[in-house]
Amino acid sequence: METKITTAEIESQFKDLEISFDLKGLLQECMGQTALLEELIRLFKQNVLEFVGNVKVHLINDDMKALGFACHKIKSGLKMMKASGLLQIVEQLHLASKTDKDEKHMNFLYSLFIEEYTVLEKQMDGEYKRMQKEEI
Amino acid sequence: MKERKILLAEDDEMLASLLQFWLEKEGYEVGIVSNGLEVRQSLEKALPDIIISDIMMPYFSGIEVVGHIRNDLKANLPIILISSASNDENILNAFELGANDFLSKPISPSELLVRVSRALKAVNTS
Repeated sequence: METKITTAEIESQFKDLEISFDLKGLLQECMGQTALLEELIRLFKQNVLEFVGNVKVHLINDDMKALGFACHKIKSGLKMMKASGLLQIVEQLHLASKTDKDEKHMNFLYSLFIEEYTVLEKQMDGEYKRMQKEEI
Repeated sequence: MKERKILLAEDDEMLASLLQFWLEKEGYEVGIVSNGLEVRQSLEKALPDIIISDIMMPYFSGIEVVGHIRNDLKANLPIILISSASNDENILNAFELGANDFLSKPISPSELLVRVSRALKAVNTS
């Protein structure tokens, strides 16, 4: 028998969600090239904005196939950034789009993603500025 | 020595930029396309020495691209597929159609370069 997860259960899943990312690791992958790192950060932000816009439309249109594709596409960038908290939310959203398609659950995950990303973006910008200063 | 041409098909610009950087640093000439339709259009103009393609792409998937190259174009250039989805059935299907290798995301630079070099050598010696 299929049982839907309650809101309290969903919220408790993410109560200890950690905002994490790894710019230093990414800079190593860029072989120390800060110009490339800056470009990757720009593309990451652009991808996230696109993802947020697309998911909103797909949720309104109840288009689970497109929602799944959007989730799949953003995962690669989140893995590169080692943004494990955001990746966890997207994986849950992707799973929900393929299984119970619970609208309330998916809307909660969508709002949580935006909330957590806002914090991550500020922290990431701060970290990048620090790294630039260290370079000088 | 002639620069080896790589066609990189990846719809994630972030990953495509990083892969392009690693490959160009190694001396390859890299062309980037972002979907299966662009791969087909690019192949109509010229065949690269090797293709690195994501599996999940708009219009035509990486697996359909493999089928097109082997069955329609009858070309034997090496094809390396990349994906974050570890869907075994998809990967097996790609190998059956004629893909040479598969890389799982996240991709490490050293692994990518070794696989590309090995795939090119295998074609040269065959």
